[in-house]
Amino acid sequence: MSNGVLQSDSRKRLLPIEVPYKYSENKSLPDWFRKIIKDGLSAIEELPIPDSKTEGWRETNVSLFFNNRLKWQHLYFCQDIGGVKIPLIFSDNFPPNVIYFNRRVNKDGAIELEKKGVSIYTLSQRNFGEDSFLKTLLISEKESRHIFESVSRAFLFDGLVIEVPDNLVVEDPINIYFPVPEIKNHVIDTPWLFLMVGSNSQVSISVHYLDEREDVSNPIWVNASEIISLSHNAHLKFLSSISGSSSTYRYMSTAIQLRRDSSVSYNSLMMSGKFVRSELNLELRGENILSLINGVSLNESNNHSETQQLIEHLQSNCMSRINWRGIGKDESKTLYRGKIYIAPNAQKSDSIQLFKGLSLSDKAVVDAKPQLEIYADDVRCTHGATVGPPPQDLLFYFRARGIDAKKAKNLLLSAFVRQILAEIPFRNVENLIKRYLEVLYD
Amino acid sequence: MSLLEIRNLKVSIDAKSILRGISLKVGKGEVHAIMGPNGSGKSTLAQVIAGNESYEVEDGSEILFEGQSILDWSPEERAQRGIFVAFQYPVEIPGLSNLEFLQSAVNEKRKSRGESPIDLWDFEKMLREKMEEVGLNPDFVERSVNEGFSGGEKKRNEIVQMAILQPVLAVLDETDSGLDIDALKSVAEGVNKMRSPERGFLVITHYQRLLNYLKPDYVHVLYNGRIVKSGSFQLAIELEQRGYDWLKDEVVV
Ligand SMILES: Nc1ncnc2c1ncn2[C@@H]1O[C@H](COP(=O)(O)OP(=O)(O)OP(=O)(O)O)[C@@H](O)[C@H]1O
Ligand SMILES: [Mg+2]
Repeated sequence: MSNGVLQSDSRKRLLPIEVPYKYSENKSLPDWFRKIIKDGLSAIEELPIPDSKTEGWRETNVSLFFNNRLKWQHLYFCQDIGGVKIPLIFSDNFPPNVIYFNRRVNKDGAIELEKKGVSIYTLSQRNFGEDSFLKTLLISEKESRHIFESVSRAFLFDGLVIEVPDNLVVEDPINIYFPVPEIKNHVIDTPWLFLMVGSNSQVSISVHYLDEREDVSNPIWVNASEIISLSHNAHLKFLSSISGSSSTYRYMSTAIQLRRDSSVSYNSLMMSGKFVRSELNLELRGENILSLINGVSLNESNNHSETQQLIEHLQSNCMSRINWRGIGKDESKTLYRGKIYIAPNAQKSDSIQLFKGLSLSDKAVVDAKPQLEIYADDVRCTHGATVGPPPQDLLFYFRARGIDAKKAKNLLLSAFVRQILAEIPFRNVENLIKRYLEVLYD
Repeated sequence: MSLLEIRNLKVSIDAKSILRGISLKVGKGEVHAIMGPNGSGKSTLAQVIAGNESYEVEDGSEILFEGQSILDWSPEERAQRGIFVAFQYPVEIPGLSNLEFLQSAVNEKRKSRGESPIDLWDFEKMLREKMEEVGLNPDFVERSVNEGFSGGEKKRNEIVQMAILQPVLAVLDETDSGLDIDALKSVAEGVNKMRSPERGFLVITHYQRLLNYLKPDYVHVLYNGRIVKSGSFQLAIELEQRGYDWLKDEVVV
């Protein structure tokens, strides 16, 4: 037993696994679906809880989740759940089309989209996607690598599905919300998003994970999963915004599979919350794929914000760009871990990975490890990372023009963030981030 | 009372002595030129006047601005009170537009005087005009400060900042270096336009060509951390012809 993390038998006590056990015996559910849950459950028991010796988890303190004091209840089976709130700053800039929480989907804002042919439903509404592409997607998932993944699977009670058919162009972004409701206990939620974009289609989607609870005395553990699949020549612009409170603990997994001639612009705003670990896996499964990744993490207080990325170039002639920024204030910890993998046959891969970090206090940790793993010889790959406080000579230039260091730092901070926002192809991101940026001002 | 009075200024960095006792008076309405070989301490002097804290000013040194000692003033206070230094190597500020940067600078100055913030609309108009005057594309107002600017554009941008901030004392550190003929002319015009009986200039340069336009009242030679010779504009012409070597002998011990 190390740093308060409990071992196998006790995790069963901490997680409400009796519910999925019962669920997995429910014969009215398709067998393949029950198998996913069962596999998730056995992985919960078998996989070790990552600790400071586990590769990829060295700086991640998961005792926040697996801790004697916390007995988690699953949101789906909680009594006394209050409502959800979407603040104006979100609804003004990204008017909700779909709101999903606690197994319920509100798609009042999606009538036009459905008329155009976009399908929006939950797994349970379609009897868990028997015989659909979704089933293929789900059962083809790799084995759980760690307990957070297995938690998502064991508690796959339901999920939101968005299907964009072939040959459809949707201009305005589809805005999806996953808010957290008011709760009275320690609650775990396991939202799932399945997004399928058909061949020759173009769509723009923003997904917002919010925690706007009034009472934040109880912790919420949101263990979210996204599976995104792009058919050939499909083009997706995707924005993920993650925000939270002093008692929001998030694990986020995003898997994006791309087929030939497709492109994705994946953009991420990580804007506070007690703990967030976001894992992004891009599989470039065909030739001639373009993937652009932009993200910024704003971090303060003693929060933990972590980004893990794996971009897999599996076929030739693909291009990937990563442009990521992290900003930390107070005693926060902001980590970026990114790996570009180039398979032996992925010739003519072209990849650039850049991280810039800004630490606004001595005690804030902002750290990046970009990595390359290359097995092909005809490739162009570069990576780089710069991290530090605002340079003295820069601050002096402001001061010599009459702007004191405090004001200068704030201006530099906005400028730093604006540079990445300029790369994000969603209008209004600047409005959205303002509220969180101001928290970082001196 | 002089606008700027420097008395026995001794400055070191990392225990290495760079300025070894400089005394200089710049009166209102005057233009002084400082010339001197590379490494003689010209930029150090400019930085110390601006208040750069990485230089160590030794005890017994004094810098007076309008009769007041400024050595305890922060860089921002000096700027707000009317001291401006155009730097030899202006830094780049990615992501911050010239407009926002200068607007902040002007507003901080106004705030220090109890004045209300400037109207953004009027300000942008004025900034565009000033940019055009020194031959910069007025659309540069939206561009990040100095980012991707050519050497000459950075220098012109320093002059724009000076014109906007309207200092009482302006120190120009090699603002003429790296300028083409047209740029040199517009920079010189920018300075000349600002000359007034209330304002003083300290112009650091290696070349006579800028001084031809400015016609300085005094020329000083800085050599190895000391002012070894002062004279009229004639001295600049002489330096251009003879170099600095002959001045070695003039060094007073
Ligand atoms: N930050 C610093 N750290 C160490 N040495 C410095 C620093 N700044 C200046 N010096 C040294 O002080 C001396 C004077 O430098 P300074 O830049 O003032 O010269 P300068 O007269 O402006 O030269 P130039 O004509 O090349 O611009 C040089 O020897 C320089 O190397
Ligand atoms: Mg110099």
